[in-house]
Amino acid sequence: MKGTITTIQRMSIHDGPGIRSTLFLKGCDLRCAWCHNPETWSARPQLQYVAGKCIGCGSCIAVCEARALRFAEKVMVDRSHCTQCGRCVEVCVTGAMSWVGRQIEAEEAVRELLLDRTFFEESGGGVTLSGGEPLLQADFAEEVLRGCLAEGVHTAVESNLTEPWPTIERFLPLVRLWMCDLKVADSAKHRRWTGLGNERIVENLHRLAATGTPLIVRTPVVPGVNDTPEAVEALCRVIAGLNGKVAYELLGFHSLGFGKFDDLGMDNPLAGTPPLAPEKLADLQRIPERFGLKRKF
Amino acid sequence: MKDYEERIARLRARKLEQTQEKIRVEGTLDEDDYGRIVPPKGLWNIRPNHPDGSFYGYDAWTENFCSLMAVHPVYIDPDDAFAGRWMYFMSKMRPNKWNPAYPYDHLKANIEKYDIICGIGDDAHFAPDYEMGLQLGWDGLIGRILHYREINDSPEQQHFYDLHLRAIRAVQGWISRHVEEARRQAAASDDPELRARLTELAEVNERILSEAPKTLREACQWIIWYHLASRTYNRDGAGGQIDALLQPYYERDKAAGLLDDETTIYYLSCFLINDPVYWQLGGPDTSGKDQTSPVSFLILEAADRINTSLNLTVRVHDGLDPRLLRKSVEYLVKNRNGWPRFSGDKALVEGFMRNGFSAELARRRIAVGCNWMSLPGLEYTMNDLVKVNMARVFEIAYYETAAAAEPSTERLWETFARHLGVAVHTAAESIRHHLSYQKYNEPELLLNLLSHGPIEKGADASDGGAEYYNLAIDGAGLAIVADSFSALEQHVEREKRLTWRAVTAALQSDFAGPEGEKIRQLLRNSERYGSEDSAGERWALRIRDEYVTLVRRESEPELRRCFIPGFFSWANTVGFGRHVGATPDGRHAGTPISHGANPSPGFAADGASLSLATAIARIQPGYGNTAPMQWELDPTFAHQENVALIESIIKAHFEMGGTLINVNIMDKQKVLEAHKDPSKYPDLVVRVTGFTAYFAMLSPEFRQLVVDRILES
Repeated sequence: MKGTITTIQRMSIHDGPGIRSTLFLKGCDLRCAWCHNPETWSARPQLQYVAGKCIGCGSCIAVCEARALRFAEKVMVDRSHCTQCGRCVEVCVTGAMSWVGRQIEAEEAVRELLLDRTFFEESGGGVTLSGGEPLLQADFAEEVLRGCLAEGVHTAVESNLTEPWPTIERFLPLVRLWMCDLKVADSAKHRRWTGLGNERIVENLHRLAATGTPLIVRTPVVPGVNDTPEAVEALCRVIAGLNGKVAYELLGFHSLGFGKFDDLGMDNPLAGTPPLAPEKLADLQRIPERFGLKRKF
Repeated sequence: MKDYEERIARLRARKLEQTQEKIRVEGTLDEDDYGRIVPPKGLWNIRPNHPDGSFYGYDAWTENFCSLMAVHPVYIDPDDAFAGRWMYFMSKMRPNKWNPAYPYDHLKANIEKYDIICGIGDDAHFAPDYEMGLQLGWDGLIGRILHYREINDSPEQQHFYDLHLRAIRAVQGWISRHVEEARRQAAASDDPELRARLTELAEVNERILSEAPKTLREACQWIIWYHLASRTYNRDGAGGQIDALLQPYYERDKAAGLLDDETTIYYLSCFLINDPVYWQLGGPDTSGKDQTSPVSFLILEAADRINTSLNLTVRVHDGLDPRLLRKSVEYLVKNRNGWPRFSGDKALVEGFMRNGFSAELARRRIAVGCNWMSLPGLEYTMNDLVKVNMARVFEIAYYETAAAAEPSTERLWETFARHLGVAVHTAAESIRHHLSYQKYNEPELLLNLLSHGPIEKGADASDGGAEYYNLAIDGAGLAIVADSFSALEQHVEREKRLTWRAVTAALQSDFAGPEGEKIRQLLRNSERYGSEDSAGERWALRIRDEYVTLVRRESEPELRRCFIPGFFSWANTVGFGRHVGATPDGRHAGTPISHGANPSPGFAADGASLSLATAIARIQPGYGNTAPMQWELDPTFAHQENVALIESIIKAHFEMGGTLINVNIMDKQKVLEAHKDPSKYPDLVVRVTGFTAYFAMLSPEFRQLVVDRILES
C-alpha cells in the first residue's frame, strides 16, 4: 500500500512524548490561514524552489521547455506555465529545485520510522502520524500504524477530526495517543478561517474522549483569530465538556513555516502577522486552568 | 570562618587573569588549557646534552628535571586549599624532540607522503596508578625502588633506580620549599585567620612530604604534586577514577568528624581548578558494580562551583546510578561549558575484550585522556599520538586512478586500500622505532614510578617495563574520504552527470570559476556519510573495515604489542587539511578535514543529532579505543526541560555502540562576537575535541574552525 508523504521528521519533540519520528502525510481538507505546513495541503507532489540554496547557475532555466522559469535576482517560477515535467529538479546541482511529496510503501515508511527505535526506547517516544490530515490516507496510515505497533513502538496521530466517525473508529485500536486541534469554538468563524465548520470535529472529540484513549486537544492561538479571552473561554467550555483522559494545550502562533508559501508559489493568507507575544499566551493559558483543564496528563 | 564561596570566586577570577597573561606573554595555543601558568622570565632554562641544543636520555632528563625542581617557583594562594602550580613545559622547551642518534630516515618519505603524525619521540600518553601512589606516599615509592634495586643488580638497572630516586627527592625538595614558604607567610601575617590557613597548608604538605596521605585533603594534595611533577616532566595529563580514589578518605574524615560536605566541595573545587585533568566519574569496578559514591556528586558540585575548563568524564553503563547521569546532564545544560563528557562502557569493554583481555581488565580501562582510555599503571600506549591523514591517502590514490585509462570507483578503492595499507604500516613502524629508542630519548622517569612493572623489572615503561603495550593508530578524515567516494559513485558512475576528467580539472583548479562552483555544489549534493542508508555511509563502513584490518594485522602478540584502531583527529583537522588539495566531496583545497569520526557539517537535513549519534555508533572500530561523537548541541534545545531527552540520546548512542561523547552547547551569536574580539569573553570555554580550551586562547584559524562547526551544525 502506497501513500504520499512530505517527509519523515526525526527527533520530533513536540509531537507526543519522548523522542519521536513524525510521518507527515500529504493532503488536507482544512485550509487554516495560519498553517505552517502548507506543503501538506495538496495531496500531490509539488515543485518547490528555495532561493537560499540557489547559486544562479541557470541550469534549470536552460532545460525548461515550457519557459516557466526566468531569472530576476532569483529564479522566478511561473506556475501557470509549469507542466511539472521535473527537468529543472533533475539538473539542479544544489537542491534548490525539488519535489515536495514522495510516494512510499507503508512497509518502507515503517522501516524508516523505526530507524530511531533505540532513541524511542530510551526516551519513551515513538512514532507520530501528522500532516496534512493523516486519516485522508486511511489505508496507508492504518498499515503504517499496524507495522509500528507490531514492533512494539508507541503510536500517536495528529488529526483534525474532520473525517466521519467510522473512519476514526477504525483507528482506535491502532493509536495510543490522539492529538487533535480545535481551533475556534464558533462554527461559522471556524469555517471562515479553515474552510470547514466544526460540528463534526466537536462531535468526534466527544466520541473520541469517551473511548478513554489519551487525547490532547490543542489550539493554535493566532492574533486576530482566537487570541481573546472570550474566544479561549468558548473553547474551554467545549473541552471541559469532554469525558475521558483529556489534556488541553494552547500553542502560540509563529510564522516559522511561512517561507514555504513563497517556495511553493502559494498565497499566504496571514502574511506579515506577527508571532503571538509570549506574555499574551501566558495570560490566556490561565483560562483553561480556571476550567480545571490540565496541559499534561 | 567558612567563606568558601568568596574564595572560590577569587580563585576563578585569578585563573582568568592567569589565562589572559598566558595569551599576552606566550600567544595563542590550540591545545588544552593544562592549568599551567607563566613562569618568571629567565629563572630556568633547559640544560642541553647534545650539540643540537636539546637533551636526550635518562641522565639528561633527570638532570634537567631535578635542576628545575630545585628552583621551580613556589606557588601559594591563600584562597587555595592546595599548594603548587606548574609552569615549565620541559619537553616543549627542547629545540628537537628526537635523539638524532636514532634516525628514522627510512620512514620519513612515507610519513611525509601520507601526512602521518608518527608519534616518534612524543610525550607520554598513558596513565599512572594513583591508587598505588596514595597508598605508598613518596617514601613508600622510595622503599619500593630500594627493594627492587636489591633484586635487579645490573649496572644499567642500578643507574635506572638511582635516577628515579633522584627524581623523587627533587619533587620532595620542591614540596618542602612550599612548606617553608607557607610557614614564612603565616609568620608574616597579622591576620589570624590567614595565619591559621597558611599554617594548615604547611602542615598538610609537611605530612605528605614523606608519608602516605591520610585525609581527603592530603590525598588531593598528594595527587596534585605527583601530577604537577609529571606534567612538568613530559606533559602527562592522565587522570584516573577520581571518585573511587577519594571515597575512602572522604568516608574516614567524615566518620572522624574532620569534614563536612561544604568543606569537601571547597577542597574539590581547588583540586579541579589546579589543572583540567581527565578524571572519570562513575562506571563499573572490576566486578561490574557501579562506583558512584557521594564523592562523585560532590565532585560534580565542585565543578559547578568553579565552572572553568574541565575534563570530567562520566562513564555510562547499565548499572550507573541514574541520579549521577541526570545531575551531570543538568550541569552540562546549565553551564554550557563543555563538561562533563560521557563515555560508553558497553562498547569500550566489549571492544577491549576482543583483543583477548578479560572483562575485569577491560572495566579498569578508563577515560583518562583526550579521546582515550587507559589501564592506570598497567599499559604503555601511544594514545592520541599517531594519526594517519586518510584524506591525503585518498588524494594520492585519486590522482593515480584518474590518470589511468579507465578510472572507476572500484579501481580507486583498490588503490586507496593499497596506499592506506602502506600508510598504516608506516605508522606502525614508527611506533616500533619509538619503542626501540624512546628510553634513550625521553624516558618515563615520572610515570615509571606509578606503573606496575618498570620498577619491578628495572626497565622503562616504553622499553618492556609495562605490563601491556596497547598501541593506538587513529585514522583522520573519514567523512572526507567516504563522501568523496560517494560523490564519484553517484555523479560520475551512476548518474553520469560528470566525468572523471571534469572532476579532476575542477579539483586541480580548486573549483575555480562558475563552472567549478557548479561542479562543487553538485559534488556536495551527494549521499553523504551520516545519512541513513546512504552511499556515503556504505563507503564509510567499507573504509572502517579496511582500516581496522590493516591496523589489527600489525599486532605482534609475541612482543605483547597489540595495535588498536580508532578514529580521531584531535586538533589536527586544520594542519591535515592544509596538506590536502580540493577533494571530490566538494571540499576546497587547504581547508580543514572532517573531525574524527564525525560526518562533515551539514550532512543531514533534520534530526542531525540522531543521525550523528547513529552514524558514529555504527562506525566504531570496535577494539576498545574510541571514535568520539563530537556533538554541537542546539542551544535552543539544550534546556533543563529537555534534560531527560538529552540523556536518552546519550544512552541510546552508547546502547548502539558509541564510545565517547564530547558536547558543546554554544550560543551562535556569542561565539561570533567572541571570535571578533576574544578579550570580551575571557571565560568562554569550548570543547575543541576531547579537550576543553578557553576560546580566547585559540588561534584565529582555530577559532574560525570552531565557529564554522557551530554555524553549520
